[in-house]
Amino acid sequence: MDQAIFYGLALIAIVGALATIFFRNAMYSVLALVVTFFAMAGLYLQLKAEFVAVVHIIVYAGAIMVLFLFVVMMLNLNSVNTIIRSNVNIKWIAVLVGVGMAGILGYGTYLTTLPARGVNSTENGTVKVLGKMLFNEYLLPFELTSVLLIATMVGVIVLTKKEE
Amino acid sequence: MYPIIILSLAGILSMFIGAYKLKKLALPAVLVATLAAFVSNFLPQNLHDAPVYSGMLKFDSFAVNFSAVLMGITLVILILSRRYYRDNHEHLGDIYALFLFSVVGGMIMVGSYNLVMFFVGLEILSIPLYILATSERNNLLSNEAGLKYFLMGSFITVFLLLGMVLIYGMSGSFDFGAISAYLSSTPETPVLVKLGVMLIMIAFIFKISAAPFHFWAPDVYQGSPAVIMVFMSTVAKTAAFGGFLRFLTQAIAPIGDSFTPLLAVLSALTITIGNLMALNQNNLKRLLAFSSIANAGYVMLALVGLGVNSSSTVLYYMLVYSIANVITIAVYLTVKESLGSGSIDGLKGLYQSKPLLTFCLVLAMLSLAGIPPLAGFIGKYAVFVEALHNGYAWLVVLAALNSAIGIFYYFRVMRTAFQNAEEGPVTVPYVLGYSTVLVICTLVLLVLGIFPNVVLNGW
Repeated sequence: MDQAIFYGLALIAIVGALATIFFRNAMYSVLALVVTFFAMAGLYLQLKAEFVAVVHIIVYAGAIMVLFLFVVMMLNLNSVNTIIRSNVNIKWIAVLVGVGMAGILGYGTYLTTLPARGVNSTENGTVKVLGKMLFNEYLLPFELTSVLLIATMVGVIVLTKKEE
Repeated sequence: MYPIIILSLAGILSMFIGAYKLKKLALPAVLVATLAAFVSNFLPQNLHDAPVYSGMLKFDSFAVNFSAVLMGITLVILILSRRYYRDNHEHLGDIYALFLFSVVGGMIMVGSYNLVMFFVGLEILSIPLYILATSERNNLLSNEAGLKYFLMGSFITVFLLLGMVLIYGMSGSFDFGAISAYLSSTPETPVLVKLGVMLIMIAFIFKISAAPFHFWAPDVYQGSPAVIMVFMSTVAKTAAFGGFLRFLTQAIAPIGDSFTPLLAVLSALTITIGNLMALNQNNLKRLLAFSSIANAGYVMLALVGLGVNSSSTVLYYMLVYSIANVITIAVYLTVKESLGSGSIDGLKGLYQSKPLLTFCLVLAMLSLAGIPPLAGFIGKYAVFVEALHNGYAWLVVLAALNSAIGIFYYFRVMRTAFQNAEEGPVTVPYVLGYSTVLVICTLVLLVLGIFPNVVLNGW
């Protein structure tokens, strides 16, 4: 049963990802991406990572997708007809490199005996466990992320504020 | 740890200074803070040989020395920026804050003892750089540089994260000590771990702009404002080298040897491409970009022959290279201010009007080319010795041949400075802000050349 759900979700995720690339209409692409994100959230749930699953839906399927849709509508990218690249060969090199990369990673996984699955207690992946980790072990990186966020915010202001 | 705290707070302070329109105060405040951080770095309480904060950070002598170099170069570049931003840049406070945050990221990287910290450090280092590269908003080239750097940089981050995840998945820990223990306890290293290390290596090679991920460097360096460009090619690169050296020696030391051949090939490729491409450049910033690619290749020689002295060798080389780079940019800015040209031909007639300025330039170029009595030669010699330890004679021969190619374009810059200008001697006034930097850097370069043991073998 577990396996059947996994393969089902994985299939949906892959089909969604492929659809994102192959749709000509940018709007459809964005919607296909939402499907992928939901399937991924399902996979997280299966790993008992409830918090990650919920955050994934709220942040990616919610906020980021809305941002994508806004951009698509604002720039009126409903259909991509113009060929942006003058050099077609680059496309094929990119495909080659991508497939090669996927092949290497897949073959690597095939060759490796993966470590045994961890203990599957009910506590795993809950907000409680995560919070404890975040404020004990990972307190320092957590605090330092604030420097990262502040740098990003300042950056947005530096780049976009109109000069007086 | 102290310098990280001081500089983070100083960055926030600098933003407040900008908000209250006290622009005159911004640079002095930032300079004092950096100086304070520099001094606090050497306090005995700052030095911990064991990892602190649940094993996140290990501020040992390696991290302290690298941090000192990062802050020292930043100090010099900040002095350089006083004159550069004289036109009352609107976001001066914010720009200084971004400088400081970037250094904070670099220090986190060289002090990290956990992959999560490593990643956070790399991002804190990079994101301010993307913004700084774009900070000349009215300049189209600067916009292109920022966008290019941002897109490629964020794409490369994906590789880094995938590599980290693969290593975590197999070893079950982000901690460098735990990863190292796992690797020495498993007789045969799983392929996935090796792939993970390779992916992290890709991110590192991108950050130091080594081949085959060097394509962004010339455009980004040429387009960025000169002060930012010198910051990218010195501080950011030193931090990337420090961080990767850390990962190589602390986390994956048991299997480090299996990556040596790959590093050797990449190093050879980087040196050759950098030097050959530099031969035909007319823009001084672009020339420095290719020279920076070539120099990254030389430093990789020290990683190929990873030994006891590798850390100090890398540090010494990067320090000397950075100082020579800062001198070149200071001369370039002085000349550009009066002539407005960024090409090498703009240096014509410099010797007639300003012999001292030419002297500084010649010193920097000779050091970059690696001519014997100067610090650059000792740095090159040290990395060659490191690579020879590991039996990579072919690589050293290739690197030495490439040094000879390097002499061509470094000497071309020098020769142009000695040529007579067609329209008579040009008048290049000395500029106080740049001259201060020139004096400091020239002195440090000479001292490092005469007493290399201050840094080399010093710890």
